[in-house]
Amino acid sequence: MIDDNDDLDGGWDDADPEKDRPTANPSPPATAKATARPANRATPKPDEAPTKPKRPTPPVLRLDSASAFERPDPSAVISRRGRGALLDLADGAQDDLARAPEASEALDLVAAEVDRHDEPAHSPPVVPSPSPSTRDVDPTREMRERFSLGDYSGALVVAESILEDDPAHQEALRCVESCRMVLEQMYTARIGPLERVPFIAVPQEQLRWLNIDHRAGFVLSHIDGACSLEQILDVSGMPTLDALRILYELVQQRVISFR
Amino acid sequence: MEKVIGIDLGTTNSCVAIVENGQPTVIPNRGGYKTTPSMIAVTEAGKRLVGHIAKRQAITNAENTVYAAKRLIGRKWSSPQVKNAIATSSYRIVEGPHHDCRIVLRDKEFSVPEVSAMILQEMRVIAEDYLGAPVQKAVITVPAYFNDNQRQATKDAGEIAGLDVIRIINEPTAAALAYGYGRNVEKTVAVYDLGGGTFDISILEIAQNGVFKVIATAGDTFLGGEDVDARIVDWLVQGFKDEHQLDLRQDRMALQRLKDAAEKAKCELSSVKETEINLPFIISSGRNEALHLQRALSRAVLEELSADLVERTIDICKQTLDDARLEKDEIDEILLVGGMTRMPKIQDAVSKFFGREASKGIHPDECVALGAGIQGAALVDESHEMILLDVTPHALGIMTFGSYFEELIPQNTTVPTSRTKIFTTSRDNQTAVKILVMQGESEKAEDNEVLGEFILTGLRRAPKGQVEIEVTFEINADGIVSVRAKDLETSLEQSIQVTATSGLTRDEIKNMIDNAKEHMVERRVSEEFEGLKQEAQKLAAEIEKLFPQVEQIVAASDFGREAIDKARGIVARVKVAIDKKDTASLKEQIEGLSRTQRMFKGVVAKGQ
Repeated sequence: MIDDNDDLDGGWDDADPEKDRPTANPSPPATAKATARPANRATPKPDEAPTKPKRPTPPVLRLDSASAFERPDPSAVISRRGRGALLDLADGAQDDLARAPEASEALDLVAAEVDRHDEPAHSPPVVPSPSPSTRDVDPTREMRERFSLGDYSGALVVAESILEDDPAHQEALRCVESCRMVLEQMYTARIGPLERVPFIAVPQEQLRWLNIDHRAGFVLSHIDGACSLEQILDVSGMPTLDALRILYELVQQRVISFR
Repeated sequence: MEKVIGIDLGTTNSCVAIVENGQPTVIPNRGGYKTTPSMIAVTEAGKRLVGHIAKRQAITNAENTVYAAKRLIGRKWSSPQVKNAIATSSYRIVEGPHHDCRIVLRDKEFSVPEVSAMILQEMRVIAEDYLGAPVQKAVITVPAYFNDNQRQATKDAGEIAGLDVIRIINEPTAAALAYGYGRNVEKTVAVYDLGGGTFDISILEIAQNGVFKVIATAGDTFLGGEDVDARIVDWLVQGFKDEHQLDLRQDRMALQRLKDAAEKAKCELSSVKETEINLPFIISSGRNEALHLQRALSRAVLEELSADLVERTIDICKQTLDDARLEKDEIDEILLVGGMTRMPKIQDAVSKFFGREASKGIHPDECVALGAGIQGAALVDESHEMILLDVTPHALGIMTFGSYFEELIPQNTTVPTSRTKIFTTSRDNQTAVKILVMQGESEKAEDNEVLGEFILTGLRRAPKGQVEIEVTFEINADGIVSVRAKDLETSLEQSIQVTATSGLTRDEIKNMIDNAKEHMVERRVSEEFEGLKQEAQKLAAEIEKLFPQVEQIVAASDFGREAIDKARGIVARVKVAIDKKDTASLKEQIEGLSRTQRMFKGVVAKGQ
């Protein structure tokens, strides 16, 4: 099972995969995490988490101005980390995700997720629950923190939850826009040129045995060997980021490929 | 000789054709399809989609996808057809500044001719890509029942799309032209046209002198293949509900897939007896699993599902023949037009009703565009014998006492023409009369279209019926209608000139033309860039692949190292040009890339 949020944001980081996670969020209990992640993932193993020294919580930046959520220039992101680092990370992610999970693993994972959160595993990206000490953290502050730490998926989820209560929340609106743009750039960089035409690499009769959800099924239904990725994004009818995320997962699972 | 394209601007699909070396040919679009859905959409990112790609997202982006704009073209905001469209359309229709209607897409208002122009522009691009040359002139088809305003609006759409619309012809006439092309026919034909969204039945008289007279036409603008698709969707939804207690209609993505699959199954069932509809991962069960839809649909079930729709078309045929006071055996030929007529059940029903087999001589999807193409070629080629005369599509007349319609110029009259009739006052001491100029075939004035009105004053006070007023209708060669009313006693007269209007002013049309041109330029530039980009990326990838080998071979020499550095420089510049979307720079670099690739290949070949 692919947890794209972890992989994407984490994948762009230097060395410490936890760096883009808000330090205020504790790692989930070791037992829960062990069942929730396949053993071969590149992200820190749960049993390592307690031994790893946590970085101190950085001072919360004041991000009141509009510029706080300005989209970071993706090229700047790349140059900051180095082109090589980007490629390494991309390769690493492939190592991490290329192998389709065994059916049994997938089932275990789903069951664990359901047990833990009591919600479907394909629901929107899971934001680690705040620890008891930070349960009363102001969501706006949490959104700013996550954004400043480069946890764009996390910041996006928090910002969207703020907007559910207050659709006119200007800061959250800016944050959503910025996060989406950055994440779209990241996924696009990983998928490759959008004019490429994907095809379904799995025999038709085996399609139904894939471990994908109905949204991925919908995207898959648009892949006909003639439409380019760009056209599929246009017709998917879902936000570009969601469609890109699904396409990325399908590529990683080798459900789709390119000629 | 200048090429003239013929465009069938359909409610659900459009088609473009041309006569090449005396042979009428339909031009396929880039996807290889001979018809293009008459749909346009604007995506969340503001991108404009036309044709198949717009259709594929029609349900998931329903509010911003326009289909069946033809039902609205040239119609007034207050017309019942517009009210009906407002009630049934997923996109927003608002009132325009001239009592016309406008369509709102992503907060921007578009006039209906503007939307139709986007489809026409697509057809123009298809033709230009095929011919490799710009296309200016076009003949566009419209339903026989279209009034002057609707025809003018279609002409305006053509103008906005950068086309010079040299003639508007009736769809059944075009179908009959395609049927009669290359043979001398003098027949009465019935054109049964069942398309995606509309049904029309027209009875035409084909005379040897090139006059195609529409004797009668009727139809239903809300009956077509989409209704059959909807029945299949209903059947699938119900079956799934029975099995899983889940309503697929609640999920737009599921509904989009269902609709696409239904249409595909319907088409397949015209040639096979049974087909399987297989839609994996159609919806989430809500228990963290996706459900699949798999169901077999037989032709018999499809016929059962659509039986009443087929029956409705036959009822309209019956009514039309009655109205035209024609017997079935007076029809010499039946022409089937529209994709839906491939359905065996429809062919059977038509044959059964008319008591004869329908003609197999024309292609149901293509014949209207082919007919328009034939007419286009005839209009620019003087050696062509066949000509189609311009006729009035509807009767013209005035409203008389009791709200009746008095016809002066009958339907199908060849233009230019002039007719006069004398009327009298309807009340005692009446000093003025209001002349309401109308178009239509109904005896009741309210059912016809008002083209204009004027008042003739200064009449002598006299008992009703004593004052005589002469009304003259005149249509000149350009189709402009003039109406004159003259008091025969005093010779006082008033007149009006009626010009069809699409609901757009000249300034508005000019702006729309400019916008469409701008869009076209952007599109062409973008297409050019994409083409260059693909070529450059291919060459750059080949060069990058050869770098290690070339380096190994020439590393020893200064010259070799210099050549490698140069090559790296070119590849880097190409990447910058692609990032900056700089078409001019990319064009410059491609030559260098190509040279480098040839050189590298040569070095590797020699080194081996």
